[in-house]
Amino acid sequence: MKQFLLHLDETLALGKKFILQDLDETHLFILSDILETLQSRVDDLMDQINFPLADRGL
Amino acid sequence: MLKDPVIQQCRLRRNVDDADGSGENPDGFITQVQDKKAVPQFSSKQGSTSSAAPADFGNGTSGDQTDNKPAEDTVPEDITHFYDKMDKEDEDDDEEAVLKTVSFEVNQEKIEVLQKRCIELEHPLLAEYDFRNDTVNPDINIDLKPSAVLRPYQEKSLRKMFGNGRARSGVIVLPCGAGKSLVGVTACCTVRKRALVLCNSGVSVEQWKQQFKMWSTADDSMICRFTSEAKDKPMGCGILVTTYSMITHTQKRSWEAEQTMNWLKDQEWGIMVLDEVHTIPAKMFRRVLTIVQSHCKLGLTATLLREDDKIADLNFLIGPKLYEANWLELQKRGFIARVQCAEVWCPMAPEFYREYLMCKTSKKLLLYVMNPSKFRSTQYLVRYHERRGDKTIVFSDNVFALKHYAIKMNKPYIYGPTSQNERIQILQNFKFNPKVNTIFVSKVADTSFDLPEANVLIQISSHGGSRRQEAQRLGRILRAKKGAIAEEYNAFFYTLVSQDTMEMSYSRKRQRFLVNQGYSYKVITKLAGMDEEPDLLYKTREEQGQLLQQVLAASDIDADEERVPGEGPRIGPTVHRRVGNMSSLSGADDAVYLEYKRTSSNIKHPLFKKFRA
Repeated sequence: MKQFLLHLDETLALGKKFILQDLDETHLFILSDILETLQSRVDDLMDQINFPLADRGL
Repeated sequence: MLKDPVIQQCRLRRNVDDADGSGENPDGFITQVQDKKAVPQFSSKQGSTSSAAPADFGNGTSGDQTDNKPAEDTVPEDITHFYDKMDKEDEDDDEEAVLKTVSFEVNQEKIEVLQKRCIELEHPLLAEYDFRNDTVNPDINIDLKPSAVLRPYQEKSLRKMFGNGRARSGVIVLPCGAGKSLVGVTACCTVRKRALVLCNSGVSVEQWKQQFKMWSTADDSMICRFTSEAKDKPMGCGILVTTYSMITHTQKRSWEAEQTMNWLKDQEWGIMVLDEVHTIPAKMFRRVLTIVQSHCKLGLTATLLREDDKIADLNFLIGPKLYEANWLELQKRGFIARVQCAEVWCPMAPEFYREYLMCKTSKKLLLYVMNPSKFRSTQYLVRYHERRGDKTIVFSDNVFALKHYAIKMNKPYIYGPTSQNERIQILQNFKFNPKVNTIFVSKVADTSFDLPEANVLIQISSHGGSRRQEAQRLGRILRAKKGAIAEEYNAFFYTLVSQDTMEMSYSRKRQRFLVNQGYSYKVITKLAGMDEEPDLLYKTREEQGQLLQQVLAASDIDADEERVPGEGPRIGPTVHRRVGNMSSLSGADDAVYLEYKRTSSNIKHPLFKKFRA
């Protein structure tokens, strides 16, 4: 997951760099104002890789 | 009924058609006799004297053809032809009391269209075969052995098929390992006419032969195999076992095969058993049904599923679904193994995920399959189950990964290009050699590889979101195991999924069928004890980095899934660009040339004989 954020940061997907400091294996220090958009991006990713089980097509 | 305007119209139209037909015959529009009226009979069922036609359809009629002249007519347009019949069927519905029947002989090529049309009109046709009264085709002398005992659900499925003393065409759906072959063999023994068994691969041809010998009194002389490897003499045998691709082969064949094919086409088969029938709708297999003339078709499959919409085609290609067993019910009664399904989440290694986010789709697949933590999980699971004494099959659709995994772990592997002999050898070893507990297979082993010993299945890569494949694979380990009741679970099915990648979505998709059947999946996010396991590969960053380099160096072709003949053409470009040099173009890549000195034959012309001292 950290890699995903790094990727977003690198490709300037949110318009600017938002990572302030790479802390350790699993933690990043980021700008607080970007948090909301970031969360929605992560949600998007989760939606992408999830497939609704209830939706049983033929 | 005679005065019914519809019928009147029918008759008229028929006559018109008749005229049209004969009028158009010279144009070469229709040259074959399409439909023959037989004598209407006063019986509750379809006439027992029904001609030995390729397919007999009993249609009730109001007896408008009381004159016993068999009116030969050719019908140029299919649709009008159908309407005639439809109207008659309508009569059948509201006029049950007057049960007179008419039999047609239907043109072989038109059967499919006809059946389709009938289903559209909500009068599905049932193709039945009155094998008891068929005196035209000789009986073959096979019976079930007394040792063959049918399980209740197998009996039930066969009852559905032979319900009224005739053989009904249709599909029987039983989970893998529930004894589909026995159902097939029993059906053949019941019909006792020449039987044709079609399956997917050469290996399953052998297995069918085994099954026939095991359950019935048939011996080697009666069973004829017809594959590219083994061609027995077909003449005079009762059962022919072959593959779909053998029959539908369009290129030039060897003379021997040509002879067999001609013979095959000339025969009137009593029953045709189609193994793994869900593969049939593929265009290529469709031809089988038009080439081979058979009275009755029995489709066998574990999964009546396809991701395309062609599954409905089976309805008119073969017949309706006669019977379907619920998996869990069979499991409860101990006929198939109890399976613990698990989805193991393997976190993507950071470097791999980074590449994953940046590269294009085809490489993505390779990256999440080659995920080092997946590799480690596989290795751990393999070892864990080897210690328990289980037999494990590892599935990978991706050949690159398959080879890599297998070679790294030093296990045998089977994939498309593996020769028949080698396959059989590996499978034999897997069955009987206690040292070979794990094999790696590609999707060639998805269906009809009979591996009764296996009870653990690890899936490392798969064909997108195919539900059928998931079910088929589960089927590989479903065969009831010894001591089935003793433990809570006696078979394990692991799917390894790389976290946060497309694979998770595929995995969900694939599970739908089994979830609908009542299976539940356990998600394992961390394999307990994996960290304590010594010398698992790819532990360090450096090793992982090397692996990543290898993966990135692999070409696009490697990322492709293996193709299995009969799955239809692949969409997209078939030409690949890859780096190479002149010597590889000429095929001299890693060739070692050997010179053979042929020992000259002993027979020499006396003039050239050497004189020995």
